[in-house]
Amino acid sequence: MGAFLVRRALALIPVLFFVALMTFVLMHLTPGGPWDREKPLSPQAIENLNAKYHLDLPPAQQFLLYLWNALHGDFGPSYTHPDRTVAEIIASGAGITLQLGFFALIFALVLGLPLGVLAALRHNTPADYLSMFVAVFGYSVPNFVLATFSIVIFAAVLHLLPTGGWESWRAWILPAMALGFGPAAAIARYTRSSMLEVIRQDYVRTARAKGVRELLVVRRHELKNALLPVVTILGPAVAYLVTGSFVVEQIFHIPGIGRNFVDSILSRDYPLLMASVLLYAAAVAVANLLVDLSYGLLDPRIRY
Amino acid sequence: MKHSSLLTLGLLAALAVAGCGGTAAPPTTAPGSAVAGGPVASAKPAGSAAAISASASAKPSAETAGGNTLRYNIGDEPESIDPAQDQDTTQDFVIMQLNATLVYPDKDLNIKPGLAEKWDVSPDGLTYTFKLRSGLKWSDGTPFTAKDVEYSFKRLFDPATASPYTDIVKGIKGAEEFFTSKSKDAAELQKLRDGVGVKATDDTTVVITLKEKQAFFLSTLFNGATAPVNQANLEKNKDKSFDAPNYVGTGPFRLQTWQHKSKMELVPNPNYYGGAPKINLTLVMIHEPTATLAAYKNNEIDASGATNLSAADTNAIRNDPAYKDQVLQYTELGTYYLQYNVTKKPFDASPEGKKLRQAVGYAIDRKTLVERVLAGVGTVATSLIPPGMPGHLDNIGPTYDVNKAKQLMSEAGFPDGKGLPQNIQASYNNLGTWPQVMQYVQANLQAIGINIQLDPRESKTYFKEMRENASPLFRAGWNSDYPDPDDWYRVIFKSDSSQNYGKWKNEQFDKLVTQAATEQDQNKRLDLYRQAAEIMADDPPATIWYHAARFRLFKPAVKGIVTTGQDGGLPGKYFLKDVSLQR
Amino acid sequence: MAVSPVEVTFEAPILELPAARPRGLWSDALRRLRRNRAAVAGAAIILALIAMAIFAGQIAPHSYTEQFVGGPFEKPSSALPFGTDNLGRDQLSRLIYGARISMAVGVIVQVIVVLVGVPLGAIAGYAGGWLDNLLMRFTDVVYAFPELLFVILLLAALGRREEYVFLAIAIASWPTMARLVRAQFLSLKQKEFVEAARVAGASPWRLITRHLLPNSTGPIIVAVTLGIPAAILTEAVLAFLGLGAPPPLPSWGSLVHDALDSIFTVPLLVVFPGLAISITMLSFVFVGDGLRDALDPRSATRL
Repeated sequence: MGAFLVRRALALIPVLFFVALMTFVLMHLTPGGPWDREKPLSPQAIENLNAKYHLDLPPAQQFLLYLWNALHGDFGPSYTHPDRTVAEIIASGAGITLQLGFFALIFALVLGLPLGVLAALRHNTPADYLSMFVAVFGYSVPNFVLATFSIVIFAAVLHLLPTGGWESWRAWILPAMALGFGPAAAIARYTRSSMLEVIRQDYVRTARAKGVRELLVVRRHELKNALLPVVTILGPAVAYLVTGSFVVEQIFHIPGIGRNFVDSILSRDYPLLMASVLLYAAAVAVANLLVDLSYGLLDPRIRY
Repeated sequence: MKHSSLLTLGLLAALAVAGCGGTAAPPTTAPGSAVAGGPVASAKPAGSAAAISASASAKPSAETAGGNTLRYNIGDEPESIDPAQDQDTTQDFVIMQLNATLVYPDKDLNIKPGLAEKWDVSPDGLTYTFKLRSGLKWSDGTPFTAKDVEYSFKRLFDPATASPYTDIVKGIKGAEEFFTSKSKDAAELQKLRDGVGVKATDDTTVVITLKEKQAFFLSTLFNGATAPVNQANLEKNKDKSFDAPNYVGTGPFRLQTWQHKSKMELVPNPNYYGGAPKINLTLVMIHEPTATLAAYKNNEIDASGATNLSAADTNAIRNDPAYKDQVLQYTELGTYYLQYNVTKKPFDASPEGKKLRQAVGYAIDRKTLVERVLAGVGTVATSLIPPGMPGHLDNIGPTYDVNKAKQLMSEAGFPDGKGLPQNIQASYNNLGTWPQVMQYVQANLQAIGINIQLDPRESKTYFKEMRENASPLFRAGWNSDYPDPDDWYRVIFKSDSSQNYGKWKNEQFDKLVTQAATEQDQNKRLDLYRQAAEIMADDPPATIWYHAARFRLFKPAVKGIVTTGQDGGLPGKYFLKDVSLQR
Repeated sequence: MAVSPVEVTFEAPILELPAARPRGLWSDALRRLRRNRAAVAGAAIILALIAMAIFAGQIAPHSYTEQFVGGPFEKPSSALPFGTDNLGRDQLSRLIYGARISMAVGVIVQVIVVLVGVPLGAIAGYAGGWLDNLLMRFTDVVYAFPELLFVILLLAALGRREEYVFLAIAIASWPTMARLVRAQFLSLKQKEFVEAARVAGASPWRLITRHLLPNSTGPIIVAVTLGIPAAILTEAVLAFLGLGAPPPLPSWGSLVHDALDSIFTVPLLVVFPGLAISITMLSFVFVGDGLRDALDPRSATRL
C-alpha cells in the first residue's frame, strides 16, 4: 500500500506537467488575447504590456520561464488584476470555494445516500418512484436555474436568507443546496442501482434466510458493497463541484476561485488560468486517488 | 461494518481537512476573517474625522437599514484602481471617488475647476497654464503640489507602467515618443521623460504643452487616467500602493477596506478640497441582474448601480406601485450600430453595395426595437452623436420605411433580395441584450429579402476578430471618452483610424474631420460635423440603431443623485460626494 | 455491481457457479421490460419527443423565428399557451422545435461516449498492469483538463456548428464512462465465475464479451441514462456562455438561459423549458432502470 501511494504521488507529477503543457498550448491557440477589448488599446500600449509580461518571448521560452517560476512558488501576476499576484488571488479564494464544495458534498451525501437506499429497499413501490423522481428532478434542473429560483423565493419573497455573499452561515445554505443537488441525485441513483445488484446476491439472501436482522444485513452486506460505484463518481463529483461553483459563486456573488477559473479563460488571463487549471488538476487527481484507495478498502479482492 | 464506517469517516475527514484548511484570507485590513459575520474591525488611520465615520464599521445586512452608508452595487470587481490602469467604467467609477483631476465636469459636462482653480490658454492653442488651488492636501494629510501632477503624467506615459489608455492625452508634446520608446538605456529614457510637455513651474502652477492644437483638450482632462498619484506611497508600497489601506488620493473619499471580489468600504476624506462628503460608501459587487434585484428588494443595497435589469423586470417595475417611484432613467453618451466591412461583399464600397447599405438603414424599425425589445431603455437614433452632446443632430439619417428600403434594393440590382448571397455572416459578442437586438434586426432584414446568419462569439474572440478580420456585418458601438464630436467622427470612422474595423474610406469625410479637430470656432466646427454626418447617411459605414439609456433603482432615502452622459452605466459617478441619506 | 464479501466472521463464502447463459437473453429482457410500467411510460414519452422533434414543422403553430405574434412577455393565453418571450415569439413553438437540438445533443454525445469509453475502460480493467496505468493516467490528464477551455478552443477554431458542440461535450465525458467500466472489470475479474471460465480455457475475447461485459451493462446503462440529460445540461451551460447553438435556433438550454434574467417577472418562461428537460430526463431514467432490471441475468429469480 505504501508503495502504491508513492507510485501514485510520483505519477501525479507528469500529469501536472502535461496538464500545464496542454493548457499553455491551447491557450495560445485560442484566438483573442488578454488585451483585446471592445475599445481596443493602441498598438504601443499592447507592445508595452506584452513586454511587461514577457509575452513577446517565443512560446517555448515563456512556458519554461513559467515552470521555473512556478517551482519557486511564483505563479506570476494576474493580467486582469495587476495589483495582486496569482498566488494571492488563489489563496484568498481557494478556501472559500473548498468550503462551498464541502458543504455541497455533505448536502449531496445526506440527501442522496438515504434516498438511494430507500429506493432500493422499497424497489418498485411508490416510495421508489417518488425518491427517484425527487432526485432526478433536482438533478435535471440546471444549477443556475435552481440557484436563481431559490434566491427569488427565499431571499426576495420570503426574506429568510441573504441573497449571497459569504458572511454568515445563513449565506452558505442556498449555494450549497444549489450546487449539491446535482451530485445528490447522481449519488441517489448509483446507490440505488448498486444496492439493487447487491440485494439480489445469493449471499445476501442467505444471510437473510439465516435470520440476520434486517438492519445488520443492510449495513454489513449491502451498503458497503453498494458503495463501490458510488465512490467511483465521487471523483467526477469533486470535479463538478469545482466548475459548478463558477456559476453558483457568480449568482450568489461569493468571493471564491470558481469565478476566477472561467473568468480567466474568458479574459485570457494566462497566469491565473494556468494556476487555476493546475489547482483543479491536482484536486481531481487527489480525489481520484482517494477513490481508488477506497476501492481497496471496500473490496479486499481488488488488488493493486 | 468497521470497514465501511471507517471509510466513510476517512473520506469525510479528508474532505473536512481540505475544506477547513483554508479559511478565507482576511480582507486587507481587518484582522477578522470573512467567514465570521461580525463587523470589520479596522484601525482608523490617524487624522480621520471620527464623527461621520462612526457608523462606517456597521456591517450592512438585511437587518440593518444601512445607516449613513450608501450601499451601491458596482457589478464586478474593478481590475485595478491605479489611475494609470483606468480603462473601463467600473474602474473609472471607483477611481473618481478616490481621486480628483485638474478639471471637473458639471452635470452638463461643461468644464469646471477641479484641482486647478483657473487656467489660461495661449493664443496658438498649444500651451495650457493651470493654477492649482492653494492648500491642497493628499488624503494622508501631506501637501499636494504641482510636482505631483508632473510626476503622475510622466508615470502615465512611462512604457514601464504599460498603461493601456494613454490615447486620450497623447496630444501632449513628447508623450508619444516616451510611450513608444523601446529603449532600455536609463539615460535615454530619462531624457524622453524630461521631454514630456507637463512641467511644474512652481508649487501651484502646471504648464502643459501640446504638440498640435486640440479644441477639445480640456474635456480629456477629467478622465480618471489623468488623476495624480502619490509618489511617496508608490515608492514605499510599490505593488500594494493601490490596495487598502495604503491608497492615497485626492478625491472626496478614502479607501478604508477592500474585501476582494466582495466589497469595498469608502469613508469621507476630510482633506478633500471640496469638503468631506456627508456619507460613507460601500461598494458591493453583484453581477447577476436577478441577484441584484433580489438584494435591492431585500434591502441589502440602496442602489442597483451597474446592473442592467431584464426587459421583463424593467416593465414590471415601471408598473409596480411599490417601486416605480424609485426608478431613475437617464441617457448616456453611447450609440450602438450595425457596422459593415466594406471590403467584403455584398455590403462593399461599390455603388450597389452603397445602395444596399442605405437600404438596411430604412429597413430597421428602431421604434419597436427600443420600445419592445429594449423595454424603452434607449432612444431612437439615426445619426451618430447622442443627445446631450454638442453636435447632436435629429433629422439626418434614415427612418423606418420598408418601401423605400425595397426600392433601394431593386436599384442595387437585388429586387426582393434575389441574387444576394444567402446566410450573410453577422457577428456579435454574446452579452447582455445583443442576442435579442441581433435577432430582431435579422427579422427586419428578412422582411426585405436579406438573409443573415447570426454568429455569436465569446467576447475576446469577437474583439480580436473584429480588429483583424471583421465579418460583413458586425455589431459595434461607442461610448464617449470625452464629450466632443471629435471623439466620435474622427476616432471611429476616419479611414486611417485604428478603430475603423470596417475599413470604410471616404476622402471628403476624412478632410472634414481633420479640419474640425483643430478648428477653434465652435460654430464652424459644428457645421463641419454636420457635413460629415450627411456623408455618413449617404455612404453609411454603419447603420445606427439607438442611443444609450440606463434604467436604475435608488431607494427613496438616497437624495441628490446627479447623472451625466459619461457615467458609464454607474449613475451619479461624479457627484456621489454631494449625496445625502434620509432614512 | 456486487462483489462477494469476505465475511469470514460469519459464514463460509458461497461458491458461485458460472452464470448459465440465459436462453434468448433479449426476448427475456423485452418481456420483463414490458411489465415495468414506469419504463413503458418513459419509453412512450421518449418516442413522443422524438416524433415531436421530427414533425416540429407540422405541429408547431408558429415558426420559431416569427416575432411579435403577441406582445413581449405575454402571459399564457388560449392563443399562446406558453406565452411569449422578449421578441414576442410563441414559446410553445420554440419549445417544440427545441426538442430537436436537445434530444440530438443527449443522444449523440452518449453514443460517442459509449463507443469510446467502454472499450478503453474494458481494456484497462481487463489487462491491468502497465496498460491500465497508462490508460488511467491518460484519462487523468484529460479529466484534469477543464472541459470549458477545450470546448471554447474547439468551437473557436472550428466554428460555431452544433456538430462541434456535440463532439466537444462527448470528448469531455468519456473518461467517466471509461473509469466506470474499468472499475467494474477490476472487481469482476476476481470473481470465481470468471476464474472458472479462464481456467476452462476461454480466450480473453470470450471472457470480455461473454462474461465481463454483459455483467457490466447495469452501470453502463445507468451512466448512459444519466449522461443524456447531463449532455443537455452541459449544452445549457454552454448557452450560458454564448457557445450553444447559434440563434435563433432554440434548444431547451438556450431557452432557459434567455429567460433566466426575467425570472422575477415571468418565471414560467424558465419553468416550461426546465420541465421539458426534466421530463425528458425522467423518461430516460425509467427506461434505463427498466433496461437494467431486464438485462440482469441474476434477476431470473424475480420472475
